[in-house]
Amino acid sequence: MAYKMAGITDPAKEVDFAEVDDRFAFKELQHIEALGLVKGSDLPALISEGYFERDGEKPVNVSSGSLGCGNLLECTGGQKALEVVLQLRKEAGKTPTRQMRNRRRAILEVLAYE
Amino acid sequence: MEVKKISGLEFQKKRNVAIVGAGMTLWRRRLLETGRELSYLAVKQALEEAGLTLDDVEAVVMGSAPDAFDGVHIKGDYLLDGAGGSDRPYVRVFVGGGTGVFAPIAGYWHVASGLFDVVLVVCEEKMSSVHPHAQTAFRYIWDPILERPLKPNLTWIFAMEMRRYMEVNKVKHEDIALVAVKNKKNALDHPCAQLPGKITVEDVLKSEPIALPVRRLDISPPSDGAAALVMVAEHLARHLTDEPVWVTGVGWCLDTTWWTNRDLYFPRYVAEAARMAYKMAHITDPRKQIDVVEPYDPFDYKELHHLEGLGLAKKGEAPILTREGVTERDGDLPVCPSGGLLGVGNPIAAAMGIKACEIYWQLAYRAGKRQVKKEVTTGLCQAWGDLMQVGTVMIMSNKRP
Repeated sequence: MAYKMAGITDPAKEVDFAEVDDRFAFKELQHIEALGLVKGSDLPALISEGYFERDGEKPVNVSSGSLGCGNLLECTGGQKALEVVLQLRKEAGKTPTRQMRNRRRAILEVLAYE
Repeated sequence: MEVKKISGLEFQKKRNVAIVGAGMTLWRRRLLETGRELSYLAVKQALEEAGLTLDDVEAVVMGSAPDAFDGVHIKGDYLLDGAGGSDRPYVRVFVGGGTGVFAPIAGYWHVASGLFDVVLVVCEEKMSSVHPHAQTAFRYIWDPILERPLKPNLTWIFAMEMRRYMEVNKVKHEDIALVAVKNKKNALDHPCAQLPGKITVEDVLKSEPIALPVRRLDISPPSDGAAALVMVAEHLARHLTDEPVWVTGVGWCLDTTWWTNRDLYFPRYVAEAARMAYKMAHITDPRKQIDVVEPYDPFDYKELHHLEGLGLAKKGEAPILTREGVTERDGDLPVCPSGGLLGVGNPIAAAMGIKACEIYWQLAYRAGKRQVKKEVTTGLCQAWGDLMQVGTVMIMSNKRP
């Protein structure tokens, strides 16, 4: 629904970075797959290659997500939205910088756990 | 402290929204059906009236009040499959008793914004699951330090509100009881009604005291029930029916829960919600321009309280309108032609069935025996609740927008 509205047909190509829900470590991988951010590849291999690192091909959870920041419960979505906005505006901090270069499109996604 | 102006409010409505179908279940103190089954029954009727199937529905809005009533936490999600929410965007909204009109308002947002063309709004409540009584669910709405030690309950504080209303406006209980008489009589024509009946003012004044001045016949009962309605975008409305009912105004307002800090004789939050809705609907003289109204009447004095809050009667004058028969079904301003919560029942959020759905049926001329005598073009429904501080208002019209 969100991709359709944003006119994105190929998320693996068109989305530059992502903030996905990672309250449990395995969920990050599940969400990357479900969101179609990589094309049918071996995720564990990509992780060890640094594909999702800050300076990798497709940075995921540069903010450190819930695993790093802490479980913000309902605020998780807000924290992710903030991170995405700061990154897109190039305001995510100086050196050593969280800020990434040349990133223009992002997706954020949160799950409700009860 | 009167708020004079709502500033910065510019409506950029993308498109018009119509209601094309509605449905509701029987309302009873105890129904054997589950919450999901009740939702399903209401949805089935609404879709039938609209001439649509569940496949046509693009999103679902569920209105349901405290989880504690059904006895299942996160009950919005629990009711999802019964309400048709599987495989489509679904959201649950809740503002206590105001939900009955707030859910259709949320449905309105979905369609007016252009995101969806067909939206199903469902409201469900199962108050019979709470033991010993639905009141116990409200033990925790109070401030833990300042209020809870006093062990307040809702009838207690509403009795205070009623007393204050009577005191400031010099209204007698006899005049307030006329509302209960009217609504229970109106409810005789409602097929879903839980407590219809022919009672007299004397019956009310002699009934069991609950929290004086409130007596048993002054209050609506707790009920199990569900209601649903279908909202569609303008271009679809005219294909589906000859009598679409258009949503012309919406408004909502929540006041502070510090109920001890304000004068209870006048519901300012209802007046604010109404102001927002009137502005949107371009209504400048409500008393003249509104033809039929369903204000929230969980207690008989509330109908009067809300009529004044809505600006349909001057402060203190609502009892006079009742006494003179103006608010009867054949009067100049019919109020609660459905029989209201007093007569039909009060399943909190599902009250949508006799507030929003009733106004829809009245304006579509489908209210059967409940149809008011006069010609109707514009109707208003209003709900109230939480810790007696939320007002929600929706105005509808059968005139082409």
